[in-house]
Amino acid sequence: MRADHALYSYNYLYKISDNPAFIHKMISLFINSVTEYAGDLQQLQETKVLHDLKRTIHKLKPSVLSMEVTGAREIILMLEEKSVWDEDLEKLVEQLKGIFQQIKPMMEADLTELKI
Amino acid sequence: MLDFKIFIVEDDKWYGNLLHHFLSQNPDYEVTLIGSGKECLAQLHRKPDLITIDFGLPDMNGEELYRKIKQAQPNVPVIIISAQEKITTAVDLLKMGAEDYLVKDENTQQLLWKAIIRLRENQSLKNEITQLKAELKTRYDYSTSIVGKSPALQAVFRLIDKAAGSMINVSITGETGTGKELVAKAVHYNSNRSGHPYVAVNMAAIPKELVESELFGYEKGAFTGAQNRKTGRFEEANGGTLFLDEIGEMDLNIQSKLLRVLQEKELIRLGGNSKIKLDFRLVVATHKNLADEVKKGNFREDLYYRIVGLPIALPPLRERKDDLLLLTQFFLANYCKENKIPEIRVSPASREKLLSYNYPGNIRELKSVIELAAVMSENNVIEPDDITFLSGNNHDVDTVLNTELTLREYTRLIIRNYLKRYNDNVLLVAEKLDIGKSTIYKMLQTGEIEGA
Repeated sequence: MRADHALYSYNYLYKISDNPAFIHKMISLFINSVTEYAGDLQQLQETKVLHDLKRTIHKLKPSVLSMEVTGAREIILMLEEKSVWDEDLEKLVEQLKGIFQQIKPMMEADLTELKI
Repeated sequence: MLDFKIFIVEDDKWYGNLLHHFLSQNPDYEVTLIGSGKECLAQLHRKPDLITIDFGLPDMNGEELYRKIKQAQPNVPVIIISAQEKITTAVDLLKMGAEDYLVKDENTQQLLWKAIIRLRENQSLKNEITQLKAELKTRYDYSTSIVGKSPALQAVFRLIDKAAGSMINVSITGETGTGKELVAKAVHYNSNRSGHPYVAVNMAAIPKELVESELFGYEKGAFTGAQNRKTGRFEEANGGTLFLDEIGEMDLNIQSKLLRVLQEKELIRLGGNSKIKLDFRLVVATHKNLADEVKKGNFREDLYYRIVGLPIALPPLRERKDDLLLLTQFFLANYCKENKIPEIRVSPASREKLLSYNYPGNIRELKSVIELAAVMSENNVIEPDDITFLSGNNHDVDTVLNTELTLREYTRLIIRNYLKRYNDNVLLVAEKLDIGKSTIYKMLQTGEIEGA
């Protein structure tokens, strides 16, 4: 399985360990996380509670940045700076959710490729 | 061997597992991943050696969890790991006593790894210091370090007890070699100040022109050559005990400055402006009669009354002959232990010889006499001929142990003694001293040493 992909990278994981079981576990956990985060973002789009959004962003930031998810870094940094829930913010949340939904099946395919 | 328990408190499973895997690479670490603050508190009975907490936990924030951990286990180190980059949050937590604050980024694992190594090194140093302090306390437990059962010494023990149990200054008098510094240490290490520094200064050993800077310290540029700030001995003793030995040798000018420090409980370093608060117990010692020195005008009367505090007069060895054989046994046992040799006994005739002497150098002299006798003894028994007293002998204990000789002169002295002991058997002496026989023959030929 390749470490580099167009939309994300496993380089960070491989730097820590090249143990396939570890890589598999971490990718699985990441898939679960982004599924959960996409759901949280969906809910937040309805409640529009900025404080809760910031908490979610704060939580997902380390893993998403470490997996070098393309476009996610910029969105996260912009969302961190937001002080009101406006149209622009709504658009950013939508984009982030979209990225998560896009990479999830790709990563699931990676998992089937990865032999442990 | 698993001997260092780490709790990782992190609700982000991905990040938690990452740290868990990374730290588990060290076989000495037993790493547990915990998903919430409440669960962490419930697991504290397992006595972790380190807890890392994520600042943004769902059930309580990092600060709240930190406080609760510290309430339950004040000594457990806590490292905060957070995606939160606010400096103020980090500073607040560090002020509260957190071991470290790490921001989640690509370097966090390495930083955490290093932080744990640093922490373990510090803990190991702290443990070592605690152990050394305990050893020091045992060492200066005067019931074992000051040997003797004579009534005169029992009276001294009672005074040490009184001194140790109070904050009073102490003045110790006694002839040279009676153990004044041992008493000073006993007072310090048995007092409430034992966890603080014990600083000893021998006034007779510091050149007159350096006394002031040595005691008071100085600021950078205070005088030519003062390239850096230096802390003085008064400051070093802060919180603990300052022992001024041979205070009778103190210059009158310094006496007035010492008086001022004792009155004001503060000092100003040489070349400085700011006052430094001081809190130490003063213990002084002298072989002189300070009251006489006051009469002669050599010692300030006001300082005398300020420092005299609880006077402890140490009896000379000749006045506590009951203790002489106990001390002999003590020094012999120590000598044998240090040199890893079997027990050496003292013959009855040697005991008589030891008891017949006056020991002007007191216990210090007795120690030297016994050690030399131990060296000279054969078959693990000290006989009268092995005992050499100071008076009337050019090759006495003092010459051997205390006089400054060159290495060559010491060599000559030792070889001569061995030749005497082994009836000029050069081969045997060479073997005993682990040197070449030619070395001894050469010295005999050139007349550098003479046979018995």
